[in-house]
Formats: sequence, structure tokens, C-alpha cells
Amino acid sequence: MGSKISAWISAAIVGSTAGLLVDIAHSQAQCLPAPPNLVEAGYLTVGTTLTAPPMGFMKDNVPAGFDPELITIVAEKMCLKTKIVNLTFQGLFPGLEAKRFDVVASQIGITDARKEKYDFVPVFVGGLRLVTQKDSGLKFKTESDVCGYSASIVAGSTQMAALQRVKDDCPADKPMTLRVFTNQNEALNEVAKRSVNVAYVDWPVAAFVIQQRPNDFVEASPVLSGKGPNTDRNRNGIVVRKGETETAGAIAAAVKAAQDGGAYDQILTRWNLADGDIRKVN
Amino acid sequence: MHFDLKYFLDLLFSTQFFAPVAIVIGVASTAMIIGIVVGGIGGIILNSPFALLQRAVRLYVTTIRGVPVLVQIVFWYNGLPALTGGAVNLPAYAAGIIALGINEGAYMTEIVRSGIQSVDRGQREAAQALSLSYRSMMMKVILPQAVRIAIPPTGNQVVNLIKNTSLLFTIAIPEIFATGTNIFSANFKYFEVIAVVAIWYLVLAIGYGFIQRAVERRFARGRRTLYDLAVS
Repeated sequence: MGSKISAWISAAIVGSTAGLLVDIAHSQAQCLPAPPNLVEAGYLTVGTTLTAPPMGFMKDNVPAGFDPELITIVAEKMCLKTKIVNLTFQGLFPGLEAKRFDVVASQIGITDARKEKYDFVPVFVGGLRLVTQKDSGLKFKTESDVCGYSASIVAGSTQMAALQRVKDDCPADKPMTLRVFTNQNEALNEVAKRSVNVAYVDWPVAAFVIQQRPNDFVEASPVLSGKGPNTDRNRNGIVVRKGETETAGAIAAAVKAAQDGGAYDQILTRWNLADGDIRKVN
Repeated sequence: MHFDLKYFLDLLFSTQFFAPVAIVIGVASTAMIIGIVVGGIGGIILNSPFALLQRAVRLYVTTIRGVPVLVQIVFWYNGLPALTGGAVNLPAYAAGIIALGINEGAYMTEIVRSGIQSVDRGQREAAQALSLSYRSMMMKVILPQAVRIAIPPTGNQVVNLIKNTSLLFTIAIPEIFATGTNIFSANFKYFEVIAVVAIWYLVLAIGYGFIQRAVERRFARGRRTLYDLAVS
């Protein structure tokens, strides 16, 4: 009798443990693997610049826009919460090196120079656009046409590299003046203040500001690649430290899950960014 | 440890920072002159019998000392155009120099005020005994002595001003720190570039130190005691 009771008790313990393990396995199967060595356990810490709608900005004190919304979905797919660190653009890469965050998600163009030092998970098709005052009548086909005018740009951006590439070839009587700011919002403000002729910003930022303030801004160029005529536009991606293949793999899998599940499409539609769908160029 | 010594030395001895250094010297000198003029007037007012003017100067000093320099720079550059609907739109250099100059004026007001107050009361009484007018008393007796007392704290202010010019990167003035930021944003060599930037500021501060010593020596003339004269 005693052995039967202990047998029942053992069976009950084994059974419930097995059931518990199955439950745990089932719920973990719904979570994609998270990156190892997170800055803060349970959180995906993300460095970003929240000053340029619609890609990243503060709406009612909450981060909103393509970058924060996509990275939040990516973190959720890995059952992580998101911690957003908002700082200036030139602080993003040093911060990533210093392990202040796990990834950077801030419309970072994937360029050869950057690929030497960092790894990327592409999530968007970028592109650069010149913006000018509504009544200036200026129209440019490529960066070289900006010779003789003044342009505002963001420090360390692909736009800055694009203009500096052609700046020295400007004729002596038509020099290009560059004014370097810390974020795209300020660069656009220079145009609104009429302190510069054009601002060179990301195409979604240009589209948004022209839509919001049609009396102040107008497009001054087609969407450019920043690498010269007849080149492909850069893809933009989530940045990971070089060599952290597990992190890159985890993020890539979560991004794919977001695309398959429809969340990616929802974000593109919400902010009118269908032209940036990364799946079109893959 | 990752340190690219060759790149660091190349950058340190390159001419890339010459123009930015010239800009820092130009902006800092102009702002300091504005600050000294404003501070001189303010300090004299605070030691004068004009109560209403004194209140105005005290309000100016309290406000400027209580607001961060960065906020003041952004106010003059972006705040004014927004406030006046674009009617007042200062170019970057003007906004930067005015912001730094007015900021400097508040601190110089306090330095001049305390310099004047530090002059021995007996000097003022002696001047009055000699029937010197207020203007003569200030110009010939009090201020020359107050200037000597004010030189060391003023030197502190100059060095602070040179360092504060780094804040002008926010309004796209291509000074030393902004130039460094542009360089390391493109090549990711953060430490090497920041080290060179720091060294340039140090060079400026040490260079100013020589100037200050020369100025102090000039104002110390005539202060040699009987002992100095006896042994020289």
C-alpha cells in the first residue's frame, strides 16, 4: 500500500513536471532566440535619434515612427522588452562600440565604409533628397549641381559624404557651402529660416516635412543614392557590432518574422513608406 | 588596446585644424572684448549710486548666470527667428559671438565689481580728500588698481570662453570640436580624433597662459616694495 501511494506520488510528480516542461517548451517555441550578452537582460537596448519624423520622433512623449516601431516588434518576436536610448547621430556609433546599447536602429545607410567596421541587418530602402524653400525655384539633378549654393547636412551622414565627395570639384567661382548640424530637424529648420538654399535629408523625412508644411518646403531633387548618377540607393539597416553573428542572426530572424506576420507592412502603410520596402530589392 | 599612433600623429601635425583654430581665436577674442566692455560698464554701475541701473544690472547678471551657455546660443540663433517670425535672423557667427559675449559680460560684471570693491577704502578717501571728481577718482585711482586685481579671474574667464566655443558646433560653426566630429563620424577613429581635439584646446589654453603672465607683469610695474628696490 505504501509503495503504491509512493508510486502514485512519484508518477504525479513526474507527470506534472513533464507537463510543465512541455508548457515551457511550447511558450519558448513562440519566442525567437534572443541575442546573447544583452546590455540589460530581458531588454533589447536600442540607440537611435528621435528627431526626424516619420522615421523616428517623439509623439506624446512616446517614441514613434518606423525605427522605434519596427525595433519594438523585432524585440517582441524575441520576447524582449525594448529600451530606447535617444541621442545625437554622431553619438550612435561610439555608443555601440562602448556597448551602451545592443543595436542601433536609426536609418543608418549601409555603406562600404561602415560595413568595414559594423555588421548590418537591412530593413529599409534608403535614399537622399534635397529640400528647398517653396519659392526658391531651385531644382537639382545630382549633388554636383549644388555647387554655388549652400546646403545643410547632418554630421557623419551619407548625405555629408555624398556632398563632400563632389565639393572639391566645384568650379572656383561656384563654391559649395556646407553647414553641418547634429540632426535632420535642425538642417530643415535652416531652410525654413532661409539661412541655406537646400537641406540634404533622407527621402522619408523630406516627404513628411513637405506634406506637413507645403508652404515652407518643396522637393529640390529626385531621390538620390549619394554615390553618383546611375547607382543604387543604399539600403538602411539595423547596426550590430562587427563579428556578433549570433546577434545579427537573431535580429534578422525577428525582422523576417515581422515581415511574414504583416507587422512590417502595417508600419510601412501607417507612415506612407511603401517605396522603402526592403523586400522589393532583395 | 586599439590606438592608431600613425593616424594620431598625422592628424596632430596636419593643417586640418588650422582654420578651426583661427575661428576659435577670432570668436573668443571678439566675445571677450564684448564681455569686458559690458562687464566694465556693469561693474562700475554696481559700485555707483544709481539704484535703478544697479537693479537692471543685477537682473542681467542673475539671468545670464542662471541659463546654460548652450541654451543662450540656441536662443540667439534659433529662438529669435522663431520669436520674431523670421524678422531677426542672425547669421551663425553673429549669433555665436553675441551669445558668448553677453554671457561673458555677466561674469565680467561680477569680476569688475569685486575688483573695484577690493581696492583699499583708503584710496577712495584719499581721492576725496584731494577733491578729485568722481570720474577722475575712478579713472586715475580706483580702476587702475582694480584692473590689476581683476586680471587672474579674467584669465580664468578667457580659458573658459575658449572651451565654451566648442558649444558652437550646434549652430554649424566649423570650429575645432565640430571639425573633429566630422572627421570621426566618417572614419570611426574616435579616440585618436578626440585626443587631437583635446590637445589643440590645451595648446590654446597654455598659449593664453603666456599672454596672461605678460599682462600681469606689466600691471605689476610700480608695485615693487622698498625691499625689491634695495636688493635690485
